Amino acid sequence: MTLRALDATGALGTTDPESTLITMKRVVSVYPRLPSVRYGRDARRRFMGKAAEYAFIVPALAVLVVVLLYPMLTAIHLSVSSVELVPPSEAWMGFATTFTGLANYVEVLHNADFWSAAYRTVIFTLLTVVGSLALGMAFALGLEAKITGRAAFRIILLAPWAVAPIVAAATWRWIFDARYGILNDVIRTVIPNAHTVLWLADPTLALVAVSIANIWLRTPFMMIMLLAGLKAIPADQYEAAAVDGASAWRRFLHITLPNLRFVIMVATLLEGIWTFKNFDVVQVMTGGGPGKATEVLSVLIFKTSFQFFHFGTAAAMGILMAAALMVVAILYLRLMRAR
Amino acid sequence: MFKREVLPRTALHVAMCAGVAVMAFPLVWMALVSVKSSPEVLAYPMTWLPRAPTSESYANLLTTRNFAGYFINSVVVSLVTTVLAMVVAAPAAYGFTRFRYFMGSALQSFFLLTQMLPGILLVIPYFVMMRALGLLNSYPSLVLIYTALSLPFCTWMLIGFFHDIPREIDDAALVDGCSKFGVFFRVIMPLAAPGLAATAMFAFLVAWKEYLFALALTTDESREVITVALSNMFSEDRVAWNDVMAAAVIVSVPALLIYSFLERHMVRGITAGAVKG
Repeated sequence: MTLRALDATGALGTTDPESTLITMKRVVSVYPRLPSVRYGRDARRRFMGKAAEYAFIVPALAVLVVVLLYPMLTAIHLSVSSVELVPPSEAWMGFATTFTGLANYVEVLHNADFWSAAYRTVIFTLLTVVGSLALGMAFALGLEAKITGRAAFRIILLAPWAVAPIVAAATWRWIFDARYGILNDVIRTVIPNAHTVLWLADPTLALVAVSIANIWLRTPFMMIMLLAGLKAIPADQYEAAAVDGASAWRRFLHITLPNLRFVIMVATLLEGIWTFKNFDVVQVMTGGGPGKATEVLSVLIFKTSFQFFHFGTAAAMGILMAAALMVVAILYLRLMRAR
Repeated sequence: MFKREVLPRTALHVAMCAGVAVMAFPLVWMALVSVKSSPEVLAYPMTWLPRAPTSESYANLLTTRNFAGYFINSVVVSLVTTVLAMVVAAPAAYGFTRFRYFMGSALQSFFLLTQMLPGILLVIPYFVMMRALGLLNSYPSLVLIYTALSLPFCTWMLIGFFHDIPREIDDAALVDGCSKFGVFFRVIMPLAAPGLAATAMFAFLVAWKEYLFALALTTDESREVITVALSNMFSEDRVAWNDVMAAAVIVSVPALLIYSFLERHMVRGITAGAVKG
């Protein structure tokens, strides 16, 4: 109750002691209770309202915490332990651990296999990003050039996006097959005396072949990002350039590319993250072979854990890999925020 | 003038046709090989078009290879995942667009960051956990992880859809005495139905295409989902390529059907959470 309200009851402006007393009584009897009751109800309502608002996101957070964050913490635990799987009745979560500090990490960092797998992963990622970016750009520009049959082209070009990575891997493995594969058949037709190309059995070519399959799989993603970016370029920039008589190449270089800079960075980072993590394509096409020629990090970690059961070592490798990804991810988030 | 216009445009069309042919080829080839007979697959000189198309490999998959069972496993896991992911993601997305939360934008970033975790890191502790809970070879173990994997993406995509619904509609319903939940379930959900349907299809595809977790968490052959069953065909002594390609077709057909519905939502779907920050 404000001063003005008090004044209106006559409590302040009157000199009549009796009426003042009555008014004071009334005010005193009312004042401390009324607003506090109102305040209490408000607070409760506000609290319930806020609780209702949080009820919307709590289930999602709970799922992420239980299914992603808790395993993540367990992985950190495993990575600093010597792990032995035991019957679940004998130990919490069915594994006995001895704390070994950073021993697993030291071992991994001294492991030549880990570093060469990391190197191959980077090469695989670079090949995929560059390849899918170039192809995606070509297709996106082609589609934007008001080409006949645009809708049909678009549907076909984006279709690999719907294909499961293992399906792509299986199909390309058959295409690359040295003896029965159709690619070598085409090569034999074009160059009759060509040697049989051992796509998946040659250590150097195998990584290239795996990258080609992955590029095919990932081009739709690049293309759709670039298409969205192209749509956002103001048409008047092109019109101005046309008036100036700029060639198509110069228009691409000085209008399209600068406008797409942000989209290209985002798409490259996301694609890089996706391919860096990739397991399916390599596992099904080559299983890491021939020898270890295509053994990328995910495949190495899978072998270490599920073939050799060195869960601690594998977890340490995974944590290092995640740490590298997080650097890129944070770069990505900062990029988004700067926007 | 005429020549200068027509020539580059023809060249452009030819180049695009060639590019599209190359991109479409693997899927076409997969379908062609799947209807070849076993001897023809290994014939020399090889044939492009099947000489006598046969459904032999599809029959093999159904009779001797139990693919109907794997297919059902995949459908069940993917459908339950879809429902769960939507039930959890839709309120979260609505909450993020309508209410202010403590550390709200950090939470949204957290949603995005979980997508960047490598699956191979998560699969190790997840395997250990599921083994301890006795949930290896079970639907729930796969459903749970697939829900978590598709959740951030679904939330981000739905945030886009809910943003497009004007807040005035919420306010009007609130004034009429609707509760916050009432507004969401009775007013916003029906309005966002097309967006919800599109997002659900994305969630379905995430589960349908997944391989790594299914591989690690299944040891019992009868509980395999279709992707694992397909990859297991490579461990046989003589890979029956027409059967493999038929299996690939079976995995791809539902996905491509969904894709044909989704195609117009693709820009929004793929760029969800990517361009909006």
